[in-house]
Amino acid sequence: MNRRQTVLLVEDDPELVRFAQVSLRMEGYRVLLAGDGERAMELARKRRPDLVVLDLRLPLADGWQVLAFIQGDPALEATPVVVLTATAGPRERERALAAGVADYLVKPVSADELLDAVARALAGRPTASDT
Amino acid sequence: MQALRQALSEPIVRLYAATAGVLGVLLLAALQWWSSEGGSVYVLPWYLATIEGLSLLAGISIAFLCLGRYQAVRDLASLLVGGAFLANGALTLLYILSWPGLVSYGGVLTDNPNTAHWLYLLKWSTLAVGLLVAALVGSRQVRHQVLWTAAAGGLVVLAGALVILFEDRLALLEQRGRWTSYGELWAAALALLFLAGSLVTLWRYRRDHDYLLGYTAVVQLVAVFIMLEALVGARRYDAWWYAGRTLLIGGYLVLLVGLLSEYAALYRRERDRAQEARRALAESEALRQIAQEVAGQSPAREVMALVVEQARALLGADRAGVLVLAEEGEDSWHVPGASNGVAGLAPATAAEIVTLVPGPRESAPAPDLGQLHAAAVRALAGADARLVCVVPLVAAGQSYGALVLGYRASRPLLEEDRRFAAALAGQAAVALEQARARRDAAQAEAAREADRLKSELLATVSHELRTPLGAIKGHATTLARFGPRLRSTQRREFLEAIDRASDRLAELIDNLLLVQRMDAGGLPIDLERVALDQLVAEVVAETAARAPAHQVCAAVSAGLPPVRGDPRRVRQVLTNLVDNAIKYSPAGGEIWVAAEPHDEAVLVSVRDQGLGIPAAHLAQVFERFHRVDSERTRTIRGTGLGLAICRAIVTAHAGRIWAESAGEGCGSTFRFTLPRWEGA
Repeated sequence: MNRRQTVLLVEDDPELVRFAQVSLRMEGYRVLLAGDGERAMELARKRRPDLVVLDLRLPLADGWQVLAFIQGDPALEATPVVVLTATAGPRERERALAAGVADYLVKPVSADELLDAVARALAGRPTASDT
Repeated sequence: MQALRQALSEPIVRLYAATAGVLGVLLLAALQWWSSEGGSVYVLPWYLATIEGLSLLAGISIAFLCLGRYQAVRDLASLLVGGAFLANGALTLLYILSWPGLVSYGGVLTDNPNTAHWLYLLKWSTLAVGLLVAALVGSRQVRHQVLWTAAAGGLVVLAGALVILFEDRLALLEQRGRWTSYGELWAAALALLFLAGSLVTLWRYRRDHDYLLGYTAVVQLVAVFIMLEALVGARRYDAWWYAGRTLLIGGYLVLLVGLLSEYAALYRRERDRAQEARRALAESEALRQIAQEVAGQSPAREVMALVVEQARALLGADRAGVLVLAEEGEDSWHVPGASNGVAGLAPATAAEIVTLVPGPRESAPAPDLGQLHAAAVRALAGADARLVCVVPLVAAGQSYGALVLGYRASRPLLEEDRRFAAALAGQAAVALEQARARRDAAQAEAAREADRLKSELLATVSHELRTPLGAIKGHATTLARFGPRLRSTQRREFLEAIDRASDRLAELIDNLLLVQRMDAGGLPIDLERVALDQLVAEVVAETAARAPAHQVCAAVSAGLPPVRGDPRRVRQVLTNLVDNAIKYSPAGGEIWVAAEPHDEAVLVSVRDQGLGIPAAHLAQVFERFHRVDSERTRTIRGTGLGLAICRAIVTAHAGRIWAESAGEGCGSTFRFTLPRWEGA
């Protein structure tokens, strides 16, 4: 890899941010943190991350708004999005996959699962959810 | 035989038969007398004047009653009978005035006895012809025939006048107290005419049941008897002569009584009709009123009250109520107005029970009458009802119960009563059907809402559990994968995060179970005397120690009365509220805990200078997992159950809990009340 790939981690729960941040860093990614939806959209526009790990329940602007923002921006529309949420309902999952997210992970997830999903999404390979 | 018994059941026919019987006995007595005494009896000079005066009065009365009858019924028979008696009366008057020695020594109009005989036979002739024709035409309807009758009457009087004017040329009817053969011929013809008239009359009566004609038959038979005197050679003032005239007055009386009783029956019928009309009006008004209530979807209880009220008013029931068969459990018994209830009298088990089954157009399955009867008797138990009338309530093929009417005395239930009772029952059934449909719809809606809330709660609980689980799994797997490469401080930090998340998970589960038990009413509350001032001091000391950055102060009124509560639970409420206040206040914020008497209770308040609560959320903060979602609250962790637990505990203590806030950023105050300790 020529350059370190950047992952935007959008998560409002500080207890969950920490392990994901450390795992991604240890795996060699550069990690941007956003604790709410507005901050996430701002960082995505300014820093153009290679991938977004997105929680759905967020303060200020929720995950769906952030997703719509990313997909609506021509500079960002190719950016893969991995949803990481505690919402397990099948409706949300279908809605997210229909919206074109790269993967839909339901908490709790292990560090390995998260890193696999991120790597697959960045490589453009079929995701675990598709199989 | 059957027909005879049926005919005799009518009062007028009974009267007729009795009178005919009396006349028969009189006739037999006269015949006996005449045969034993050789026909010679005392001469009573006043007798003839009396008899003829009476027959004149009776004839005129009969004539006017018949003409009145014609006015009402418009039948030719009434008119002809009336006309015949009118003519008969007129000729009787002429006869009286022409009889020598009856009113004046030589007679008023003439002094020729032969003329009087002519008038006598003439008056019987008009009667015989009139009655025969009347019997032949029967009850044919006519209009405006009075003029013709008057003209006929005039002709008859004219004939009488002609008889008197030309009396010299008339044939002799009597000679030396005996009838001539010419007179006998005329009398015989008249007797035949009357006999024929009476037979036709009886046949007509049998066919048309026309009482008037029936009664004239009596008069005609008597007339036959009178005519026979000429043929058997009876003379004036002998037994046959007396008997015939006395019988005639009897016959007239029968006819008069018959006509008058017919008038009485008419009056009765008229009065009944007026009553019926009033009742029909009241019934239709009652039904209209009830139907309006039913159409307006009034509560079934109100419709039942109206139905019972109308049943009592218009069906004369001493006790009335609507028995509603329960789908399950106890039947209910609607008796509006407890004072008119059914308690405290003799048992109704001996009562006669009548069931008014709905009409054939109701294609409902027959309601279980046995069950209805048993329920009705149970419902009326204690009422001294001798007659219980059960009207099943059936609507749309479904049996809903019965309208039950109790009568203290047995009485016949008329067709109108049955019809009206059925109509009332129909309305009541429709009202119950509607009420049941409304209730079912409401229940289905409530069930759907409960389902929705349950699945929503489940989703929330799942979300809340997954969050700390996510922290545990995430940190643990990161440690496992990158452990050796992490700094020791990082490893320590991760293990602490796992520890916190585990605690949070355990707390969450504990609280969830607690709330669930409280909702099910399964939380044991041991009420005892609690000194709040002491409790407040303890909680303030504990929480202040945990939050050194905040100032927690107590303000308890002096002489605060003790409360009735479970000290462990009250402490839990207070601790939760103070912890919340600390959590949602910036460092350095002040928190006041106050307790003061408030009516029959003690009011406890926890006030902070924290984030405050928007007005729209003031009530909802006590719901499970409800959180005021904002940037600032997001960073504050909580299980979302603390206030729900507080509310459940306070409610179980028969207290109230509520939140006050001037809005976001203005701090908030949580208050709750607990009842005072009343015991010794």
